[in-house]
Amino acid sequence: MLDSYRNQILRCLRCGFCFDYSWLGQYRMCPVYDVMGFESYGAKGKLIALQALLEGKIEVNESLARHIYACCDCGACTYNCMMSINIDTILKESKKYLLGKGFLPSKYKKLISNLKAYGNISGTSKPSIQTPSNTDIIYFRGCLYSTHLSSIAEIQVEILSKAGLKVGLLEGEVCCGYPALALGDENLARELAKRNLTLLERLKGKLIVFPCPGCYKMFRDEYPRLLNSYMPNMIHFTELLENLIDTGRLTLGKLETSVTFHDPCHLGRGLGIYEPPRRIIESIKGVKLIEMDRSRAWSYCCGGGSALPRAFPKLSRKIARERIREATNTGAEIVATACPSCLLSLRSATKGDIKVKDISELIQDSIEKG
Amino acid sequence: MSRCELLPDDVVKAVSDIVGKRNVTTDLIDRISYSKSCSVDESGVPACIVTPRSADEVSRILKIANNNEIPIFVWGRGTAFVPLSVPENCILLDMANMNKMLKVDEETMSVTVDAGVVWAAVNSILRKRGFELPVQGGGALVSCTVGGSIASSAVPHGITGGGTTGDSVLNLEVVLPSGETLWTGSAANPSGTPFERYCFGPDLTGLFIGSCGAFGVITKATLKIEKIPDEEDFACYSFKNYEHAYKAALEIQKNRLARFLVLVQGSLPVKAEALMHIIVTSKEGETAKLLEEIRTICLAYGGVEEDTTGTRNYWRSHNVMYSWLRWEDPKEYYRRGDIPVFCPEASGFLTFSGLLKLTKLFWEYWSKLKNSKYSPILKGFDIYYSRNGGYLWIDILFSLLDPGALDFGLKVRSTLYEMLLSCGGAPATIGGGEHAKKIMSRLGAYYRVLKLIKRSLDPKNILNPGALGL
Repeated sequence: MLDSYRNQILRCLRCGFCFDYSWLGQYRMCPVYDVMGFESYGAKGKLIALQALLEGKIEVNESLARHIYACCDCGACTYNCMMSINIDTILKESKKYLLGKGFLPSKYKKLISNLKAYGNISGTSKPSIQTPSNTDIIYFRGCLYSTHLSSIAEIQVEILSKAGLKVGLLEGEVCCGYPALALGDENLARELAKRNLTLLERLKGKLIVFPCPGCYKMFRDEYPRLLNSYMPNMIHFTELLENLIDTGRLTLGKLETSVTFHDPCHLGRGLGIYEPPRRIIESIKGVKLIEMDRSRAWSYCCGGGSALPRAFPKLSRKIARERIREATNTGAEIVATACPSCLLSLRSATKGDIKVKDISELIQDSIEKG
Repeated sequence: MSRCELLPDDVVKAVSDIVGKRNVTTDLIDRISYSKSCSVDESGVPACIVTPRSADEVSRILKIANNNEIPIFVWGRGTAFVPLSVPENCILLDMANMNKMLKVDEETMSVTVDAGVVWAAVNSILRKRGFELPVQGGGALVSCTVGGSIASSAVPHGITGGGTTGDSVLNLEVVLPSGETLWTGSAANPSGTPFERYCFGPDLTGLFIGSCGAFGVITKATLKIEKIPDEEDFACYSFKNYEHAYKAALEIQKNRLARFLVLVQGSLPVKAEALMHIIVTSKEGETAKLLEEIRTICLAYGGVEEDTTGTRNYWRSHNVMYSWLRWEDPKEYYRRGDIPVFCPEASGFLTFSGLLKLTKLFWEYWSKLKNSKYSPILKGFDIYYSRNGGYLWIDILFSLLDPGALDFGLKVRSTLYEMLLSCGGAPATIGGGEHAKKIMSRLGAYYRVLKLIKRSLDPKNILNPGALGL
């Protein structure tokens, strides 16, 4: 199948427009290239290596796999490619090829086996829950808000309840399948997608709210491709929150602080949601929003995408550290985000120089203090 | 770092000791990605990639290379469309991580930067302080490095008023093939600073501009800066007759009215032979007068006023895109459906009369070429007007999927260069390999002198061998 992308791979002009955000200042665009320093880790280098593979000049080996898997799937290269090459799709297809050849980096094997055995990335059995029949909306937690960040999920559900919504969790929810897809296991991703859609089919008509942009993007963009099946009505948590504030169903208080917003790659470039989180932050009286140089469509990744921290923890942390540095340079007290991977990644990299918060924590703080 | 079969272990270890292990790689996957540039010409695979961080590191690596007679290739971002000729099994110095912006000097109106910094990054930082560069390297200004563009004498946007890339260079720090480091111009004085180019005898700065890395590794550059002009405005005219357009351009240039003047032919969005884009900058309240003078000239030569959106987008886009010169979306510009294409570009400076002569020859040639079995597409026959003439580049696209198209395309490029040189043309970027040798060997004593300089500075021919045909 990788061969079917041959023409796109050959279309690369090698202009290097996938390396830098130079028009914003002395900034790199590709986070992996930024840290590793060799062109082979940027999109241009990876496409040259794939071309060499297709031409039989190199063989599949662990080094090729390391280079291809060292990617945050942030989509910046694809967004900025002057030749309109679907680099992110080509890299996913390459991972599928590498996995098929037995070259999945060993540290990802546990993640895949967790997904197969437990239906989530952490490999834990979740306490069983029931979806109440009288809910307005279904809150699709996703793996990270179910485990590492369950306290944030509670805050988010509480905020929605305060706005008068009847919120239910999805009974039997499994991983959206994005991690499997990102690592090249499309069959597993399809299987997980099918399980989720089967559950949601029984709840037809309910609105599904996603706190995780990765899950939402998977449902919106990949489920229709993987399955020809029923698709529910969907919304991201920040879009719903913005609506609740606009319609006066949720009243925010006051916070005297300054905030910079880190655009999660899947929320921004992936889903095109840039304004709702900003309008939410600006709705909090007393909060000053300060933009980073790399923001909105030109945002820099946090290093947490595509399960990078699992197999490349040092690389991931260095990327996150670079983002924390940029956020700190704005002079803001808080860097807020709206994605569980970003939250974990940025929290792991802050050395107390700036507070890292989920946007829902800001809302909660404002309600409590206001 | 895996063991390298192509270089002695002690050499790889010595280089690693200088720059640190994580800045050296001998892995084939890393190496192969430096074997291709924007040029379609075949290139070698380096034995080792090194990302130095200072002139001192470069100097020490060159000494090792000299002692062991290992070729070195200096890499900026590989965005030139001429053959680079990376030597097989060389040590490749990737300069892009040597990228600090060192000093903005408002007294001497200059900025000193590491060679690996990207042009657009320097300019965006300067603009936040109210300054800008007169010109910004070559066409790939958002990705090409300052050192790379200077070494290849890349022709920049804005050349009409701002001059060539080399014109904006004051002083350079260069590591010679022997490993010795020097500053050119006023900075050669141990007590001096980089602010004046023409001093202490001949212009050594100029020796390294356009040298394609044959004579030394540029590690730092001091560039002129200017205040951001108060006003900027745009004009666009189409011409039914290209000769009339050329005459209008000459008239505009004689009167120094434009910051940038670009004339495009081929694949135009309007029924005309030529489309002229004009960018005007000035002090407050002066652009209207300049535009009026330009209008008078263009109308006198039969020009028709056109919408300036494309001109504006071209000049102001964060990643300046040639596509706007033809009012096209950048994302579609180089596409031919999903078929991958290559562009054996030919380019060079010509006088106004040389341009007229070559244009006539070209259109005659194209009328036959366009019907060849390889179905070429003319994407551009475009001129950036310079202070003393024009810089023409010819972009013809061929399919990478057509067997034989690559050889044919390279022959077309040779023919175009023959045409260019016969009309008195002068290529700005020479590159390396046979292509360079073919051009330079016509130059008689000039070429012999360059050979003598090369032999004197680099007796073992380790640095960018083949560059400039040396």
